[in-house]
Amino acid sequence: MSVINAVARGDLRMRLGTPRGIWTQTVLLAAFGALVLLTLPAEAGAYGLRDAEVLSLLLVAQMLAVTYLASAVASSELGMEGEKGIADLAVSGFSAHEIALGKWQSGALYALYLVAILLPLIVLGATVRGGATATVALAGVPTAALAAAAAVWGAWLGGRVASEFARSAVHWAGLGALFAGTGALPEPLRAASPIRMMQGVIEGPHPAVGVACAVYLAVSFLGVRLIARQVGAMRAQARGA
Amino acid sequence: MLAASGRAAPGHAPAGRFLSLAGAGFDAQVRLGAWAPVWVDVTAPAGGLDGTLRIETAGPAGQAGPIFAVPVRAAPGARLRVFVPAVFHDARSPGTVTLRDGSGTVDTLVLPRLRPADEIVVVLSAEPLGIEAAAARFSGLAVVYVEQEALPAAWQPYQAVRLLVIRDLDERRVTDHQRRAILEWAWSGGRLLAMPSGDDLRHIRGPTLGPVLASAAEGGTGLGRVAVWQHDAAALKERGQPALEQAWQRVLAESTRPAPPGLDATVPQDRGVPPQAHAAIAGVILAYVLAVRAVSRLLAAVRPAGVMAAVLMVGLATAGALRVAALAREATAGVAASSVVEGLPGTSHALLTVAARPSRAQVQGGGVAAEPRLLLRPAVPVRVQILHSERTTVEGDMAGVLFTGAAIVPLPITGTYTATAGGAEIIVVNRTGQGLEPAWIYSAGMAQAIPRVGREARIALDARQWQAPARLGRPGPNPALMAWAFARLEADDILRREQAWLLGWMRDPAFGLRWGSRPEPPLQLVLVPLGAP
Repeated sequence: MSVINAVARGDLRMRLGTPRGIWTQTVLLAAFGALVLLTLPAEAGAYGLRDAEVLSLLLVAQMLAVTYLASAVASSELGMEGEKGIADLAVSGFSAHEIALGKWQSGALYALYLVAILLPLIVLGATVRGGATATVALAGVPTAALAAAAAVWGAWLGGRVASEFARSAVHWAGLGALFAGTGALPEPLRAASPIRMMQGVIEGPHPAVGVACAVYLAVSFLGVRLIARQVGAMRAQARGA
Repeated sequence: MLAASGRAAPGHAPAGRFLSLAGAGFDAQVRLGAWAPVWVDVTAPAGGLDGTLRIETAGPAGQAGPIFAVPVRAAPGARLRVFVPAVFHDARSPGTVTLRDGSGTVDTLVLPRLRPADEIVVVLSAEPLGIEAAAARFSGLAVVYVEQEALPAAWQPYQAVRLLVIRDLDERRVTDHQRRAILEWAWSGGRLLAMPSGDDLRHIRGPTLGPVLASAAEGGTGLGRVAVWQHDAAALKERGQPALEQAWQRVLAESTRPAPPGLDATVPQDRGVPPQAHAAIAGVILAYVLAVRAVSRLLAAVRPAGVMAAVLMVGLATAGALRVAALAREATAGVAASSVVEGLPGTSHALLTVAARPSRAQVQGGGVAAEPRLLLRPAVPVRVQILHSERTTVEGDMAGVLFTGAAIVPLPITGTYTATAGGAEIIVVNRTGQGLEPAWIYSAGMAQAIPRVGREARIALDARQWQAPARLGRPGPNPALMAWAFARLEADDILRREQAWLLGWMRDPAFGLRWGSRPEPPLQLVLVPLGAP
């Protein structure tokens, strides 16, 4: 586990092992389980969803849920007991780079973990309707890329805005801009829309999805740099005080 | 088998060694896309015959259309006249008739060109009746004089017939199947006109028209209309009566009956996952959530063993999900269908209408079967084989194809409706052995829910409980079909005349299709007219 740095290990320990972390996963899985059950065609055909609509619904819901949880946990909007924020880590012995990289790793691995535990449920819901398992698996890539970027920026937001209300407001505004605002962008920038990315995955391999994933990866590395700079600034401020 | 008779056949062309065509359509007149009668004379080979007679139809663009088949068995050298109902889509080259037995194709003949028409007036008369001039005023209406042998042995091939006129009928040349077909066609909405042949009234009182006219006299012709002229139209024509043409025009105009809306739009998209499968899937999901909770604690140590356990769990769970999904798909494989059993006023019978679409999730070994009276056909011309035997079976690639069918069946539910001071009282006798639930009473554009209808029910209706059908809650398993039924009761002139109707969902395998051993759809909508006690 040496590839995972100590900051990320600490975060993951809290997110996966604490009661709140486990309940977060339980609620997520229960919600998706209920969604899968509701999308199963009832015997008398009470639901009018078509197969492709069900696949879209499940994959977009997965993207929304994973992105929200990854960013909300990282920004401490959904705080895990014992998890250290940027401000706490700034007074530790870790270098700014280690802290920033750790936050990126914890965000990305947590997003990957959530995508992984949702996989069986989405496979179940989609393949009952004849959806391809490969499409479901492939959809995990843009979901993880987007959620990792959102998590890094969430961690940065957690260190930047002290007020919980203001932080939540900015967090939700950011998610709104990400999911709804990008859809209003002109072409070809609209390819960055998460909904569009998911459509691209469902309709077949699309180069624009790969480009959008690379863009979100770049955005997450930009977040890493900002966190490192933020830690540096906090330490400089502490030294100045 | 629908009908086969051993009587001598005229054997006119085209003919092969063992097959000759006795008639296709009504003297070759058909409506494309509608059921039509086909009579084929079959001579059994020296070794006898145990095979099928198939009509391989062509689609409108020359592609392969459905095959309509009936089994044929005969002793060596025997000659049979076999009836096969078929739907044609190409008048110029309608298709071929093939006789097959266990060793392969015995004989084949090419069907001759047909004459398409929108509607047909079928006349059984040795003399011209002067109907042609009046019919010419109606677009697409053809008049055909036929012999009684050409009459279909099932009521469905009368689908394109606007009016059946019977002036001459030799009862010795009519089979029981043909008689029954006329009666059932009249019940299902057919228009029939009988008249004397000179002063000969024997055919009007005979075994073919007798039951139909007796039924009409008691107001019991279901959706059909039956009329009897006291005068002979051939004699009037002979005398050059100017009123004859107006009389024909009036009869032809009255004989139009708008086709009821199809059930196509009410067929559910999927057959759906049965409740047991829902429960099993819910159990699997719950077990998985609990497993994730356990493994999450292991993984929290961020050690290789924990990661391995998580990867293993997700892998196994995904494999399990694929298996559960496959089982659920197997449970949904079958036929999504709408089935309506509509009581025919004044008769003890009902019109069973089925629209069905085999699901895309078909599994190997499945197949559609229906009771023999139900003639099934694909809504679009695709190559499937429909065999009408002891039961109707469909074979071939039918996934996603809509099939429709209709039959006249005995109605096992009767009831009465009596208006009372505070509302009304209904009495229902249900001999299906199945309860009706949910159920409603419909009267004069309003409806109200009633409790489950068991073997016998006496229910008092509260005048304050009537609601518009659209506002009824809990519309049963297929809301679209309920809406269809209320719209039909409201729009149809004949059905609207009934004082009240009982509508309810029942689970009776006799009124639907079967997918393997499973009835489809599991629930059927039944409409029962409630007359005065």
